[in-house]
Amino acid sequence: MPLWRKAVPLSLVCMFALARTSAAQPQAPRSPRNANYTISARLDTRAHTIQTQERITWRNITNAPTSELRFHVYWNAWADTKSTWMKEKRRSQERDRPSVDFSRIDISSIQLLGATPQSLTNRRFIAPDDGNADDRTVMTVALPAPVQPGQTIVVSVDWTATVPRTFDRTGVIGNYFFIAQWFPKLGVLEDNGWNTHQFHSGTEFYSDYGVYDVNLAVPSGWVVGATGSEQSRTDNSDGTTTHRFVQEDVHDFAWTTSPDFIERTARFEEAGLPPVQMRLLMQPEHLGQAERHFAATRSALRRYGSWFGPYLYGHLTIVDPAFQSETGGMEYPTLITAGTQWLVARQVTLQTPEEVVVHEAGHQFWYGISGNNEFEHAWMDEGINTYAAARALSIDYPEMHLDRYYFGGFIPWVFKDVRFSRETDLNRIWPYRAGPTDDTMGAASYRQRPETIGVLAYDKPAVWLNTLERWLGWTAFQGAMHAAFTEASFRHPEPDVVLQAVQRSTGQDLTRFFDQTYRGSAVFDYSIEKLASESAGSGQFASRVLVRRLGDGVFPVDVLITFDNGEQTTENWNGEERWREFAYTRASRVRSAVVDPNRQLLLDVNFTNNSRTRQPRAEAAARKWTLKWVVWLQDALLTWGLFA
Amino acid sequence: MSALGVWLQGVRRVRRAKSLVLLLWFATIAVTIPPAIELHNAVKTHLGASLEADSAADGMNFDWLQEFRAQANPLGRSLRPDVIGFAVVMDNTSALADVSQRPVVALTAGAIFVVLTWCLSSGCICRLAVDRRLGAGGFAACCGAFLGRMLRLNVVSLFLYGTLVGSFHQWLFDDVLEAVTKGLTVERTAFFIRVACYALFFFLLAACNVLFDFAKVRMVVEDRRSVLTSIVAGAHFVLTNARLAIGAYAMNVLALGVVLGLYWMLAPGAGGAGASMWVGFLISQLYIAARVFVKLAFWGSEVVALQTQPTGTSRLKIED
Repeated sequence: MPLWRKAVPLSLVCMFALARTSAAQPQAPRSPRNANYTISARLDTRAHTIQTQERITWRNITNAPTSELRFHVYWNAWADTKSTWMKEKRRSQERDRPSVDFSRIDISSIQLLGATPQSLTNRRFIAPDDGNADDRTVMTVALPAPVQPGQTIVVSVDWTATVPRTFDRTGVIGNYFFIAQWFPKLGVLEDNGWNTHQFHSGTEFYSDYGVYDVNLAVPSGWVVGATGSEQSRTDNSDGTTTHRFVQEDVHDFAWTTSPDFIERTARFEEAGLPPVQMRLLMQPEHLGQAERHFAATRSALRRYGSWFGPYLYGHLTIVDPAFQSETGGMEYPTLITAGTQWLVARQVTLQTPEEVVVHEAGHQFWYGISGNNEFEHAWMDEGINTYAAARALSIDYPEMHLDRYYFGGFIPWVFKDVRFSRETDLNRIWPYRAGPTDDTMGAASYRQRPETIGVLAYDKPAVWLNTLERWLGWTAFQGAMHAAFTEASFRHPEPDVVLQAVQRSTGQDLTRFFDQTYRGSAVFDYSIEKLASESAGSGQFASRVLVRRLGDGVFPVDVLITFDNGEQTTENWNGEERWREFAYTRASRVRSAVVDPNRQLLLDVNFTNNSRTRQPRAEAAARKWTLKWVVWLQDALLTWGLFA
Repeated sequence: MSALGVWLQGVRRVRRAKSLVLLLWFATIAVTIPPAIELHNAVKTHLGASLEADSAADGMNFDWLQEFRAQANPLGRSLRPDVIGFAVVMDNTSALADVSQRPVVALTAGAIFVVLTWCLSSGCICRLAVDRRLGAGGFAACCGAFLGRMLRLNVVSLFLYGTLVGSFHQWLFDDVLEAVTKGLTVERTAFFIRVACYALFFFLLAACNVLFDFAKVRMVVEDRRSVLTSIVAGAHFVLTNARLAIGAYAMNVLALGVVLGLYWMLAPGAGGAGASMWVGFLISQLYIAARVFVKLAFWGSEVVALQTQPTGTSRLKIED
């Protein structure tokens, strides 16, 4: 029995036991807990400001001293149009932020606490990624004395923030507030120095694990959802209520509040996995979709839990974002945002709540528990999660259909004839195929072009991982991913954690494959170039099948040959040469040939040329689709012609 | 005569003029065939001898369709899932309501069809006005006699329609609707505000349509020389016979709704490439013919409305 097979159930049991214990007793640290935040925030819902005192207890867990602290100050990305985030956003989405929607964080004081508090006034903004002097999303603060390895310091930060109108993930619209990336947050000190990237439009997360103890004062009667679980609620004399949320072993904290939320709760229970209390904050107009949200959350917790490792936090808040808030589809520790529509299709599609909920709940594993550096290796959370979400969806929602929203995006129309496949649609294969050589997955994410980072963070990794799964087999691949997840849990894993785990699990040297697909951008394209069959006399037929490798990528492929009498032969080809011819002399002609018939190589950029038959039906298909297109065009003519 | 009576009479006249239905139906086919041949060849070439053609022929091969579109020219890219079944109506109507960008092939074919309709409209109105066979020569003579006037009238209408679907739509949906719904957090409210905007937009489109339809009808039926006086006369008729004109127009809109409703129920899905394909195509063509019928019924009922009122003096002379 492979080692991982023993390891999976054993580690599951251990983690489950740990989770059960944690529910009853103070939580034993799962993470280093070297960056702990105690925050008191007061939200002014009229002025759209947050006044905050923040105390950070930070321990240097590296082997080197540091004489500075580096903070992410994310909201300064929206203070004007000159920030790196805004410049990148304009490139990728061609949209700008109106000046009335600007935002900022004003830090009034930073103090090093101790017997004699010292004010840390020597601070400035830096731009380590691109040198953009107008970017103020990373702040360095000089310390009076270096912090030695193992030493702990306590720093207090007082600041005020202006809440922006929601624009990509955070802000306020109406009386709906979604507050993320909102507090000055320490970067990660590594052995070779601080790893604190500027806020980029495509990547944003990397920080140390710790305990968050956060008091949030909001108007009384408003519902609050946040990272962690609510410990207490205190009514204040000024008409506000302070909600205290605490969460251990997380690397971020986000929250939301609105008087309109309707709260629903449910419980996830699955044999072999720790229970999870689910709290759903719904928009009133979506209340009828509550169970769909819970079912999708259960799908993620069940599938990811059994494939990679259990979800150990015991609770998860799902936020149904307000209309036009642009805060849907995001992940934060123990809190996710979903996204649906008032007129939603009964069938499951990519725009109904299932896909987004499974994806975001999945991030609790790949982002939350496995805390990779998203600035540098975005594929480790987005890519793995896209791959895993596609797998979960294909199992729990096997009938997913294409839909379109007509009339301003309000009226859904489901194409019952168009069923999504996991391998292509759910893995988001099409953007990858449009530009397979745009960049390499292994390149630092923040350095990738804003136009292509989505493909390299989400799409190609999902297709790549699914290719590995189909090639190596689910059992071996699942074992590898479980091992990688276990190793990555509550740490900051590097890509090698995954790459090595796959090699270890399968016992294969996959260096060449990773060189082509991860470190490089090889194009895979195998095709059946020719298929010929002629009489060889004596009732025999000589048949030849020419298979070609059109791309620079090399991958071992099977070639399935089918004869007129129904016989089939599978040839194994290492795929190395530019072409390979297979010849047969048999009593029956070759009818068809398919290269990679099981479609292991999803990275192949052209699947239509993977097969060839002597009895092609292109004419029938072309006729059928042309006739349908004719009707569409006739209808278009008459729609406009009504006014002629 | 009541609006219902006018509408029924108009429908009867169109029923008696089946050749007009056939002619306009044929016009839709004629405009569509050239790009359709091009598309057919593109699909056939792309599939070649691939086995993917089997599933593309037997049903829906969405993977292949995506792959084809990714490698196709703009004409090929217009082959989308929206061509399946009733989605064609959703797609085209939604595109009109939102004035959204259309494939170049649709714009080009649409422009040709509209001009073709302009050229044929006077012949159609003549035929409906005399309510008897004109023969090809009579029809052509009628088209020819009014061609210049009809083109001038339609240039004016084009200007007004263009203003409506251009700057007015942009103002209504991009400026007004955007400003009104900017801070809204309730989708349902935003939806109903949008529906109100659609109602206003389509009301104005319909108003223009009524005005120019009656202008055309008066121009042809009363053999008016001036485009301007035809428009004024058309407007005058609508204003003085508002119940009749609007009532008959509403009946036609209702009939259009019934046709769309029937197609919603009967529209064929992706289907196979055998007999079911032809059955599906036949149903679709019956739907297209019904749309043409309704289009003519608008003119038919407007002609009847004009002729049944004292102002509706007919100076039309058709040589047998």
